[in-house]
Amino acid sequence: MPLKDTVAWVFGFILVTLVAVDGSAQTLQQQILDARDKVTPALVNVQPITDVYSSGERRSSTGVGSGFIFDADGHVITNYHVAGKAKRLIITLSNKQRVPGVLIGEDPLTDIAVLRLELAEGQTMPAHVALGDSDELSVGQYVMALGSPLALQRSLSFGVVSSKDRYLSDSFKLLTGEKTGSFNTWIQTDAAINPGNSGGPLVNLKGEVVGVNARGAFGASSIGFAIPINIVKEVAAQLIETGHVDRSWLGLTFQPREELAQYFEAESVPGVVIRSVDPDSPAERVGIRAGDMLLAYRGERMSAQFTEELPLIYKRIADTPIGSEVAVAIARGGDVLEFTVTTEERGASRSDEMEFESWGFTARGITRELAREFSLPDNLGVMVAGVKPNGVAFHGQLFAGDRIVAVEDEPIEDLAELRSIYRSFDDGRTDAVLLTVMRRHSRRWILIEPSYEN
Amino acid sequence: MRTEFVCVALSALVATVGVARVAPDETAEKLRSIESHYSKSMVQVRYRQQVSRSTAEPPAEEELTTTGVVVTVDGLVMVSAIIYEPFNQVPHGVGIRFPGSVNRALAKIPEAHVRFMDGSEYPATLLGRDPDADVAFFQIDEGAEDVTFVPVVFEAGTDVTVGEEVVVVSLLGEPLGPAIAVELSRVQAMTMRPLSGFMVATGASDPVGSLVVSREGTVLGYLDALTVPVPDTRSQNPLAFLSIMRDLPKGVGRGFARPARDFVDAGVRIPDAEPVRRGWLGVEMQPLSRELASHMRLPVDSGILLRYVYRNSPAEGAGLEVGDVLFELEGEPVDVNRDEDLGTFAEKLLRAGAGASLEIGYLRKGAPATTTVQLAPAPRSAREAETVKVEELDLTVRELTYDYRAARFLEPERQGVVVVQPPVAVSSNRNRVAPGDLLVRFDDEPIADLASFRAVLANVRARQPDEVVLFVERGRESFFFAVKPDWD
Repeated sequence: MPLKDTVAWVFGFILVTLVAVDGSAQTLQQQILDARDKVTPALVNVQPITDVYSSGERRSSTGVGSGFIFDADGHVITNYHVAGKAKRLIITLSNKQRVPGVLIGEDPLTDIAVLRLELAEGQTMPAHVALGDSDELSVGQYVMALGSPLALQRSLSFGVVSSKDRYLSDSFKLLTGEKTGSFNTWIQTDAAINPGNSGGPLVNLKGEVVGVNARGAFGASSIGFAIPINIVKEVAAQLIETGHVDRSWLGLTFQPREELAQYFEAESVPGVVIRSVDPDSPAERVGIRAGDMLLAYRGERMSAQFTEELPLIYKRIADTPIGSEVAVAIARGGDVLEFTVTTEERGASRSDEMEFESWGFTARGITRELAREFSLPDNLGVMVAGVKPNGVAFHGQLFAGDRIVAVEDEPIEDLAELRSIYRSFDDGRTDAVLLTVMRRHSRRWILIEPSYEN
Repeated sequence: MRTEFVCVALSALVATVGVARVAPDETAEKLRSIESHYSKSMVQVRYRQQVSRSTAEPPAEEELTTTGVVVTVDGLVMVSAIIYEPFNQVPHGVGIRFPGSVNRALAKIPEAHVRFMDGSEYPATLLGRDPDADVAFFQIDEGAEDVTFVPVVFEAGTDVTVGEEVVVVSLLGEPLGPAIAVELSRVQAMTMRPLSGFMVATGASDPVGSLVVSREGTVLGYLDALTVPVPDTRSQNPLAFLSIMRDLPKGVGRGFARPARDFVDAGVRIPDAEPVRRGWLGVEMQPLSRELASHMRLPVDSGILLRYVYRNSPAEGAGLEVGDVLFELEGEPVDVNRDEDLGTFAEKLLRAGAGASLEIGYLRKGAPATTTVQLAPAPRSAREAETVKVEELDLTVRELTYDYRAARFLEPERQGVVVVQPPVAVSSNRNRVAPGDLLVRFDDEPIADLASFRAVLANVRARQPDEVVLFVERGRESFFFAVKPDWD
């Protein structure tokens, strides 16, 4: 073969290759653009105005996050940590119009909040997104994240699904102190997710929302996490219907068999290890004990060898209607035991915080979760959340974490009682008020001289 | 010309030096004579003791030194009772004894040496503590049969007054010493509480155990404590707590001396064979401020509010309850308004000693009542607790103590041992054992206390399994934890 021909042949081959590569890239590019166009009209920027409590005082604060319109009624999905507890909401549509919003419902445990656009007369509702199926995702699949990272609105980043069943520890907490993520695994992606992306959609190439971007990783890059849309669908439906999510509680926490297989001889018995049983919980009352192995719940086999299998088990229990009598099968020392347990309402993990301005501190009610976290013997009283530096409580040596159990010898059981006694004192402009607090196990008597400057 | 000038200058210098030598300084003479006299009686005591530097680490034996004074011709050596002070039992209030950041986990001292300034050194045995003088004694026991020691003499009637000139005789420790250091000082103040005595200025780096003498060399006092600017060692104020936990400067330029008369009989009394545990009431206390007293409309204007009563404590036995106000002890008013006043009360209880019966007047819901409480020896606290280290598991545990029970709201019948150092996780297990967790099962056996832990451990060591499972509790949480022992 003459050299010239050879060169021509090789050249032609390269050209063909180039064309082929270019052709597929074109397709991917087009797919991205198409997906973008489907989602963008529904993309919103969320600016909540929230009360924040810090150092014993309440202040108004504004933040920024992302969200998307997901139905024809103008409901917007975002993160609880973006819009939860918002007093006012300013929502900017993708056409840059600003629209007021209202908070419909929130769920800290999945970090989801639902808002509704309050369009003015004559304004047209933008198109809403299509929701995908997060169970269908596969690792390596292209996805893109849309939102307002660092308040840079209508930004788009692109990447792949890095993992679809990432388990973020069950002790993962929001800045407001609430636990989150017990009921779902997370989609991990390398599409850039930065602060401000929170609440924005994670979208597949069909332009369907498959997740709600929720967090990045400190000190890392290209590691972001999104809440699977299938969980979001369930939660959003409940929030729209009732404003809250009902969950059942048995008082059990679990541990995967992973490293305990030998101990529990678990090759022969699949199940999930019960690691703790809350005092005075439905499970404790029927005699379920730490170290038991849960085999079945309401007739469904339960098994967790690895941690990422735990959320589903927690979710099954939580999803049970409150007050149901459920059958629980337990393995204990070679025997299989059957229990009937009545589920109870799980309750909020954190109660609202309240400022006691003239006393110089903020406090919150003691929920079961808080009592558990601080290993308190009971839920009585009110917990001091913050003390204003140099304020009157500060000078009386009240500390955050103190539990107020009485005011002037009147027992205080909850935040409402403290609020009403505070109001009566405040109206009377009392010179001094005696608080009885528990600091860890021991009592303190603290005299506060209220300040009525404001 | 230039050479001449230098010569003149040199001769002037020589002349000056010559003058100083011709007219000796009387004070210098006296200090020198004091230095020379007490270099025969002041000694460095080196001893080994279990101490822990932080709560995170298990106690370890370390060599420590303290200053001693010889008090008899046959070699009885007196040291401050600081060597017995568990860190958290130091009486609080101004003038606390303060051993630095060391926590003496066990008072036991298996081995000690007494070193003199001339370089001679003798092995010594700890005899015990004299509870009245609140000092401890070592006896030089070997190799000194033919030696006649020069004792320090403490006499009554040697009271001092404010402003009086005194000499502080202290021991200069390693690496510059040991050597005797003399220092001219003055009495700055007389103190009443928590102990009566006086304050002197001193720059000694470790003044505890030093003598305060007159210009003529008569012993006036015994430096027993440092002032540390912390009003209440059990204060819940985190700042105060922090300043205790840090390495404090050992001296703050001022020392607390107890008068010589307190030590007249020291060494004559036979010290206790075993160190006496100080009297323990078993309560946590809050001073009753005047403002609180008046706001609560109490018939007293000082006293102590009981913040907590330990289970199975003498206070509980005497029927005292949280919220009671102690206003009288042995017929005397409890004169406590501020944190720093608590020292006096605490000191009274400590000095009364275990076994003493005390009459206490208290108010319950404003109404007066009395009770008699029999003080007990203080139980071991978490800081003093006995520990067991398991090298193969990289695990250290300690006994369950009364203060841990209280802090964790544990009932008296709850059992277990407390993790001091957790084993290293070999995998991604998220349920990690942490210091402070309560170990309740070990290798599938229930653990009641250190004894049962040791028994199960012996069993495990004999079997050498490739995996051991721990079950621990943390508040309302509990979990299992598998460890792979290293049997090699």
